[in-house]
Amino acid sequence: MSNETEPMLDAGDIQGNIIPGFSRAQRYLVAFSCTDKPRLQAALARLRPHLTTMSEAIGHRDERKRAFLMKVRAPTRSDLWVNLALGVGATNALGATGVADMDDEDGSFAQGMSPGLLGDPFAAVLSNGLPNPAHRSHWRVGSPSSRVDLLLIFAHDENVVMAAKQIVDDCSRLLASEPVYSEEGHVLSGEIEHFGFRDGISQPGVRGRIMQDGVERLITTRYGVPSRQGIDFGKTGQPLVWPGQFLTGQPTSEADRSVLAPELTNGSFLVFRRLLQNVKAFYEDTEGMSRELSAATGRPLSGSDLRAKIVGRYTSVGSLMRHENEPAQPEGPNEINYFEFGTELPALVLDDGTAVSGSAADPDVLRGRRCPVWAHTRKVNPRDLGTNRGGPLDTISFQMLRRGIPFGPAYNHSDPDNPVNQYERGLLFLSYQTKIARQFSILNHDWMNNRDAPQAGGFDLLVGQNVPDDAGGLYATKTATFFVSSINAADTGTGLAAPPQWIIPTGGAFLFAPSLAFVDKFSAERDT
Amino acid sequence: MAFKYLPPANIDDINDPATKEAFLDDWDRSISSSFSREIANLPANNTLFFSESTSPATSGDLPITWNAFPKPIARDNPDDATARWNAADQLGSVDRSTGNLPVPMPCRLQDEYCEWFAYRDTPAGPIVRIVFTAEAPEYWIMLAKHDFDRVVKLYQDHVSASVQADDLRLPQDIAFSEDLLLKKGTYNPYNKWNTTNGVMHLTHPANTLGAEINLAARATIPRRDANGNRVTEVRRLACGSNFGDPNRSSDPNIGNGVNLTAMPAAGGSTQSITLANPVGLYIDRLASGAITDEDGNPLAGWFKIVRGVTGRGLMAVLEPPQGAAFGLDKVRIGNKKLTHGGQVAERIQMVLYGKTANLGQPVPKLQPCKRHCCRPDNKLEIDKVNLDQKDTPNPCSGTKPTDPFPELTGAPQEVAHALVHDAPDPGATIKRLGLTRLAGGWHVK
Repeated sequence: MSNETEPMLDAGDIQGNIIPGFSRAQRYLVAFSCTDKPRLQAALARLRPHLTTMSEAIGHRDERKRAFLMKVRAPTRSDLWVNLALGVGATNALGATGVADMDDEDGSFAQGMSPGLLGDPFAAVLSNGLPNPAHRSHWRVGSPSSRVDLLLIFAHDENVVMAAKQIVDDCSRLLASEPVYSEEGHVLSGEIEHFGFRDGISQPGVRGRIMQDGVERLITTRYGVPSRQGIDFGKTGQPLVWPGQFLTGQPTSEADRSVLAPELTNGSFLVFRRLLQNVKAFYEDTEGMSRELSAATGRPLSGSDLRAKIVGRYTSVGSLMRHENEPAQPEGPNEINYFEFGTELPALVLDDGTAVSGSAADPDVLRGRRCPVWAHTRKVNPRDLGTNRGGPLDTISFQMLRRGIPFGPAYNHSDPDNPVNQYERGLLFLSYQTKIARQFSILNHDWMNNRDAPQAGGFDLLVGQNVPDDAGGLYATKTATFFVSSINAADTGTGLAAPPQWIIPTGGAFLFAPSLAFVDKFSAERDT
Repeated sequence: MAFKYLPPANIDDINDPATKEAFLDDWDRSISSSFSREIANLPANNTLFFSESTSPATSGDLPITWNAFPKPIARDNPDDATARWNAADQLGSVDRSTGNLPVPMPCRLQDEYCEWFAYRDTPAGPIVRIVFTAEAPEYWIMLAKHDFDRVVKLYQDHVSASVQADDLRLPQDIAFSEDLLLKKGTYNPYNKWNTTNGVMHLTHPANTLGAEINLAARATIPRRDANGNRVTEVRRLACGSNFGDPNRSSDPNIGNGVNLTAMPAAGGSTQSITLANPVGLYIDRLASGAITDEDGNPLAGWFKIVRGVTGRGLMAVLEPPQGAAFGLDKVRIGNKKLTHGGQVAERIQMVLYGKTANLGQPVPKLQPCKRHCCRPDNKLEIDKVNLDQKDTPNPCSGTKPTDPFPELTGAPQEVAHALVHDAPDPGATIKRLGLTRLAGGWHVK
């Protein structure tokens, strides 16, 4: 497809955490409850000059890329980045009632998070009589008493809370309320999440062009990866999709000529989930499960082997589809995402001459002998495979832009009794999309929370939730079928069960991240 | 004990022991002969599809799932949910002529092996009950042949107490399929209690067990494109093969799963594959939390499998359980008030089960694609449009070449002489019977 057919986007109108994402060391999320129009307008006016655009964030990405190519450390920056998102109470209060209409037929944004949409537990009390921390009434943020009408997302490299303090204080004053929630996020050493795996590796590439520093360029660099099955790529494993999948009012295909009012264009629906991770249980349980599997199958399987199967990648980032065992040397950026599940990929040479080795196909793909069907990375992105909802292009159309970041200190594995291990830790999950039900909800509830989809054979043991309607609104055990790597016609698989639950939701909201034109239109006179 | 094919979900509808035994024998013969016919029609040295009548399967069940809402209708109405749900509720008709005069019979457009009917106490009143079925018509035709009274009783139990035996009888001969003539006075699969007034079993002409067996058998044929490359992508495989409908969620996914399991793209050993006994198309589950009260709290016990068993559901009913404080008019699906059966179908997962065995079959030769697809003349991405599947070398009509996957067949003459031997195509049957694909499903001409 010719690049000229791709739309020209206004990079100064789009918030930078949507595209290309805030690649800074720290994040600080601050939420307010306020549906008073004048106060919201005043807060928006205060925030407007500080909002970080796509253009600024892409400039920073260019710096990082240059540093990477020069094999030097990316420079730290001292400037504060700011983005914002609004809840339906705020958009309605501001008079932007058209926002809710842009979401899909489930009305996720308008109705807010609910157990039925998310698959979360709907019992407020656990069987032992204690409050259920995963129930919305007890959430840290997004509960009825901590409703999110305005979410601020700050990014910085060194001291984000201090850097954001003045703006937060000013917003508190203008909104006449203290934040209902604030929390820091940090990139952990090695850019891992708390269970020890790299997050956010596989992301779609956004089609489109922008003017940057007076030069027209593509949003997503094309590295010369050949198209496959009608899918174009930026990097290896990075399918290109039309910007309308993430930005309102932008085309969803070459033929899409639909337009929206300027203030509604270039926004994105934001799903925010505060996911609490129980590192101790994850490690202890997987060690026990691996011993049971080893005994049942007669083949040794270590805890780390099982954890890699649960994720679909090794802690060294490599995909199970590319390596039968943890690779001795970490793979390069062009290899880590170059694989499919049902199809072998050939070796290729990129435009700059970089050689990329090919990858294998699963020898028994419906059972998942190479990479289990229940591996998290296969569950949410089955790539070339058919699914319960169509083919690879359908799968791509469900993908979101994920901008999550860990919160809480890293777990100290060498000293389990270290007081630091008592702190809460997890992931501040942030994803941008234009249709919450057709993107986030399909990946979350139809696939991760479903034993038998996108392919049958197990829940997403890592993130999925199993809350059957007849279990009193509480978690039930997640099950999966494990197959050894070699095909044996008499092998019926070995059942395994993950105790509930290594990750639980403890907060969240469906929000709308508006364009800067929206902020201009709906803010009051700039507060000085 | 000799292997026998059992009725779907091993459903046990007949009370009289002698009648039951005769029915079960007849059912086994019928399914076995369907398998035999499909196996016989596979190309030589391409025998990865097998029947348990001849060789036992050794694996556990291998489920393949799909969404119950008709994907072709969803594609035609991407941004208008109400239009989508309304479209799925329309009846079409299928020509079941035995001769020259058309015999249109009503049928639903719901083509993902799940059909439904929303019951209301008054025509404009609220929905009081929605019934979903995955039961193949072949079962009911044979059940009626052996025990018509039992069929009447089941209709009275599951559809309406008003059902009379004569309501279920054909007013004239019809050709149910190429090889099945149903005589006047015998069971009418398109009777009013199964179409305009209710639902008991599947009616869409492609929603049959015969189609399921045909699809699974043909999907074991590995295909190559005109350049010799193995075809593995779901929709390309469905377009280039001679099975199913490339527009559905079900057929391409089933075919792709069977194809890659029988002969992995990774190479190495093949696996012989079959459909697990009892062969059936099943309602697997409704997504947890799909049905809620007005406050968004999930409702347990409202959606029940009433024929079949968990994981092999033949009929499911959504209705208030005994003692419920409110009716379906107060129920919400994904934050929306329940107004259509399609809202629920969008959250229903369907399933069929395969099984495998190592029967030492040779690695089959890749066969050329024998069909191809044509796309509408627009710039929508291919996943957003419904395709027309055509036999090669029939060209795509229109002013521009509109084959979305020209690499499958290449030059028509290359493919035309390389066709593999195949049985009559069910799609052709459907067309002969008078259905044609317009936007969003099969419609009568």
